[in-house]
Amino acid sequence: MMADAERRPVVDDSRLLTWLRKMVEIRLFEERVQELFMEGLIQGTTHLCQGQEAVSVGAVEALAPADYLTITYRGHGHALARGMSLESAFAELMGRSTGCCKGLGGSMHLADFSIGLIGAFAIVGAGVPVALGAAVSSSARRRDSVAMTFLGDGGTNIGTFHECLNMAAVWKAPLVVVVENNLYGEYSPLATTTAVTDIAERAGAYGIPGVIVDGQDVQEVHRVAAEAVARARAGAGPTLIEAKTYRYRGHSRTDPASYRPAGELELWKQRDPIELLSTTLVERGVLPAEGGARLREEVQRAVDESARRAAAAGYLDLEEMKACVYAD
Amino acid sequence: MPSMSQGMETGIVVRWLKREGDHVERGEPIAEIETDKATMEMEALVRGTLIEIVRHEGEEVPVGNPIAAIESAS
Amino acid sequence: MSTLTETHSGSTTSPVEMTYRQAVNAALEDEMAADEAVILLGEDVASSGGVFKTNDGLAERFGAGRVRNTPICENTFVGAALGMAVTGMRPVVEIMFSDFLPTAADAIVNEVAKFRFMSGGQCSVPLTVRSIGGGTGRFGSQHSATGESFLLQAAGLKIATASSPASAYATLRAAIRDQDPVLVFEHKALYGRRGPVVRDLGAIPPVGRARLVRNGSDATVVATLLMADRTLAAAEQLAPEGIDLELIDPCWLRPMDLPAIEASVGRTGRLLVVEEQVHAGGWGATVISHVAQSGIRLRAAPTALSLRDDVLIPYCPPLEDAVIPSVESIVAAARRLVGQPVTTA
Repeated sequence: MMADAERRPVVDDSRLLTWLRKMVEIRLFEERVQELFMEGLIQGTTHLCQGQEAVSVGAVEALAPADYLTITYRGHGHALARGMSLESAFAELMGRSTGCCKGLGGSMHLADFSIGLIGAFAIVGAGVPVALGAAVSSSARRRDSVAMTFLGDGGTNIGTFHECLNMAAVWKAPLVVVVENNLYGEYSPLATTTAVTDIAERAGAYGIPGVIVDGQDVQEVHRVAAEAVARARAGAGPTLIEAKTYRYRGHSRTDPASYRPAGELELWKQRDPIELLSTTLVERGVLPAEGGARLREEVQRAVDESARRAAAAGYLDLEEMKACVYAD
Repeated sequence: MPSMSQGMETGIVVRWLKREGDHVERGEPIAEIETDKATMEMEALVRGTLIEIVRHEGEEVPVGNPIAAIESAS
Repeated sequence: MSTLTETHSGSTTSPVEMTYRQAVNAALEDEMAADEAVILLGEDVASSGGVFKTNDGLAERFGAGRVRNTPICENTFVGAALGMAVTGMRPVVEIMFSDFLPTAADAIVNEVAKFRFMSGGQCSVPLTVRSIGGGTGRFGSQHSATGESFLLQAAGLKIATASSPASAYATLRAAIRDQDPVLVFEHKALYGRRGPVVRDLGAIPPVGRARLVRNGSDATVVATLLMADRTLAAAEQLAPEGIDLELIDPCWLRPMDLPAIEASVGRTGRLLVVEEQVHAGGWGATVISHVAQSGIRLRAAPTALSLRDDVLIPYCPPLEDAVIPSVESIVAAARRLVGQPVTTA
């Protein structure tokens, strides 16, 4: 069920430029995060998404402001795509009180209720039931919000993924599940842990549509996601989207990804999502011939400035932290 | 020597990928560093010229100590 | 938080005699009537009033949208309830047997308990998880745990137990009203017990308040669920002998009313905890630890009466009865504590 590029509805140029900017922002943010880690300003661990930007931007851009989103520990891209500010994200990763979660969550737990980003989870699969709950809540309260959740290929092997697809199907929940199949679950290639090659096949077991999309093409991702969101909003129930993509970096900061066969990374870099959209926009005359170089410089300045401001902020004190355990 | 994992105290310079005098780009791998977790590539944080290699292959260096000097191109 | 009362002044509603099961049903009904955000979910909750009949009449009165049968997937429906709780609803999840709580351990420990904290306080999680546990029913090892201490380590949760019809009604309503996630533990052997219930939100003690079940001067006994019920019977048996037990039902294990317990032990000088669980890692050990740390002068060493040795609950009826503290073994433990001879081992 490959998406059909010819039938693509027209997205206006300014929107495409926004998507390009968002993808560049994510790319440069992730690169800066890497450097900040090495400088000791970000600690613990971090999971980067370079190469997968088109999936977060394309899918998240299909959501309306009142829709809900849950993401994984590899979630910086989705958070930024949804509208989290660079400074809020940097500050959170640096543990500062100006971070979206006051520094208490960190890289793996970005949340911002003001933009419907209701949680990011380190437990594989844990975001799916929470998104399901938000979807059910929306129908129960007679709102028309949709919930979207992201997880990786490895996450489709955990029990709750299957339980959620089943329950979402039975309850016709307005849920969109986006699987980012980047061919590896942590250090293990897909084939060694997963019984199917195409994750979308799993949708059939629950009687819901499963759609495969080229995860490097942001326009395709958006088209497919928008269709799924519309289905959900219309009361037709959940959809499973599988985006075929690739992560340039290892699973986490301490993974050099030496389990990859030689040449695989280079092959995928030939379909870099930012390059693909830039090329299209240059061909259409929307972007000047020098491509995105000026855009990149602008975004780099914004990234550097945000990181600098974030690093200047302080930390929450213990009493302020304790107030975040219980509400009552 | 960068902090390449949480709790890392020292790293071993396994191999220099660039020589003194070479131009380097920001993000380009310039050395292989062995930590207790894995051997990883270290990338240049700035664009410029690698003017001096301070610590050599086989040396174990504490995190935060200099291992090379890059003159950045502004 | 240190004055204990069984009934509360300030309520004009008269108490009504009902069973523990009816009290749970009344609490759910009154909450659902008062707040349309309250929604019930769990396995068979809408089927003929639920497996323990605690939900009788609720689906009929409030509709299938508010009383929802789930598939068998505890980890998922607790996680889904979390998603509902942070988007404007007040879900009450039923876990059929407390033994099944570990199936949802990830959702409870890693998501529900930590969610508000990890978000830096952006949300609260007004979620209640009721589970039904406890032995004596000959249900075997996987259907007999009380479960009350399984999740004691999870900061971020509140934990309550219901040992009488009045406390079942009050505790469940307080749990549902609370803005934080609460696990409420019921005991299947108590469903038929009768007692007075004041069906009024104004009569409900605050979260964390212990219940003084019986005033006494010779020893403080702390007990929950069925053990509170059996201790009361033991106290009545001992009273004519001149042994006067003070019985405190903590109601809330998290946060626990330690000031009330310590004040009582300060007066009686003796402490006995009676618990239908192993001692290690349970609330009984927490109580004894706090009393020891408080430096209160005791007339005797504190005692714990727990499941006999470090066992599991067997199916075999006489063995099940032998391992769970009985009225007889509570009487014997109280006599030993107060220094009286024990006539049977």
